[in-house]
Amino acid sequence: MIEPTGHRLPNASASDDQRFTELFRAYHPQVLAYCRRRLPHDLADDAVAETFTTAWRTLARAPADQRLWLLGLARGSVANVRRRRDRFARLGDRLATLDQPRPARDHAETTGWQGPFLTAFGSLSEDDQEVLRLTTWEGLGPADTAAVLGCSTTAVKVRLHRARQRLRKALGQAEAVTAPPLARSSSTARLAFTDVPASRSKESR
Amino acid sequence: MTTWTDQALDCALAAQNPLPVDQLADSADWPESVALLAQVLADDGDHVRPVGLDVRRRRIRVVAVAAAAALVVAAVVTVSQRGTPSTPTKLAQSTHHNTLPDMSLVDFSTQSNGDIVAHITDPDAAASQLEAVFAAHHLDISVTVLPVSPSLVGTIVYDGLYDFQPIHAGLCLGGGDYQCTVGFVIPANFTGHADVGVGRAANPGEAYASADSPFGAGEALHCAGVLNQPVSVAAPIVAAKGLTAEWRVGGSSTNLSTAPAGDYVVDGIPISSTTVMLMVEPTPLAAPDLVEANSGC
Repeated sequence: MIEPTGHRLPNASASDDQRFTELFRAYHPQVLAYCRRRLPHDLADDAVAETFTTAWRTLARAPADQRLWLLGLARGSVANVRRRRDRFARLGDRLATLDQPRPARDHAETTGWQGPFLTAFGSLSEDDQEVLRLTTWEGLGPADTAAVLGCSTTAVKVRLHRARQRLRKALGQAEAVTAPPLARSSSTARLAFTDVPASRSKESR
Repeated sequence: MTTWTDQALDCALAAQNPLPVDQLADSADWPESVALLAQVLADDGDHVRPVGLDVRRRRIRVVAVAAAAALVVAAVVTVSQRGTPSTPTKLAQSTHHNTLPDMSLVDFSTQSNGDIVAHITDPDAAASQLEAVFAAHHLDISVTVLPVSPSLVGTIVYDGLYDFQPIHAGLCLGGGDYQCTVGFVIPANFTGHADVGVGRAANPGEAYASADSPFGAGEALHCAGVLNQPVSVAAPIVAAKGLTAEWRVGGSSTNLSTAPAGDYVVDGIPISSTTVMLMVEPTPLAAPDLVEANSGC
């Protein structure tokens, strides 16, 4: 336990350490899975470390549902890591204009999308992708998704509805340029990670 | 063309999950995880001290507990009022209407297989009235009425069950970017609970819960000559419409004075009846991307 001054409190330390250790062991797999589904492994590990560091520093404010709290923290950490990565990429672009060697791109970034379903999903905004991922990959219902996203349950329902609509439309466009039409279960490609920069939502927060 | 139901979409996406969590079940025992835990526990940053609550926080907690207790009481009352889901009379009572609901608010018809087709005909009706109409048809459906942009008024902005098949009315009044849902088909054997969101007209300045393209038919900037125009051309038109624009450049918001005057308006999101977000980029849209938005101009 740390006082605001930074000194440990001997009496409180053990219980807090134990509480955090239990939390860490219980939810590390889910936090790791969340981050690795959205970022290349090395960056995902950074996000996991940031998530648990933030959790430790704000343990006193942990709500009853620690899983959703941690997923919400992980979401913020993933966004932070992406911003740092993008800043680094922009620096790389500037270096390139100076005829300097460009930083190597991550393997996952160069993998690209395969198959019309993944192409359609990848064409959605990050907001649309995230509400769909939380629903289908994290298996969260609207109320839990709202807790992670920090918006109302109603907003999640609206966003989910619209995201499915836009995915449906994107699939129609993707299928139109693909012959034969996509069989729903035929796609063997998996989403390496879904890191689409565009982020815009037409639904309320 | 494949027909994608909500359930089919969700199943397809779930199948694309690149990393099922059960593959990481022992991840907390990995050496790097053990090292991370030790590192975090040794962190002496601004860890908030959880022991004890100051007086102000205690007071907040008391108020919160009281509020929570009140909510529980309210919930119990509501549940007891609602009775069993399949009891339409009790459900109708939950709406606090002593008179029979106006059955014309929802247009019902029955298909040959017994499925029920429901169209909400009056989106301005109160949610409780709509619920009462459904209840009168032995349907336990909660309705939430939400403020939406003009072209979505009267449409279903969400429905909560796979069991319901949406009825689309083509693109939302033309120019929108998705199909409008104007009703749904309820399976004949449906006995559960569902909730749907219905779009209503927003009050002036009220934030939209859902919105279609601002350039689509029925929306504020339809045929206004803003889409694909430079900022310098678009800005006065938007202002003349009485709208406040939030300019988005490269993913960040900016004001007109710092928005690149020569960049083009390529997309937008209505925020309310008085505010619109406009995305600008250095290159204009290609002609095919404008056909839908310019429909009816």
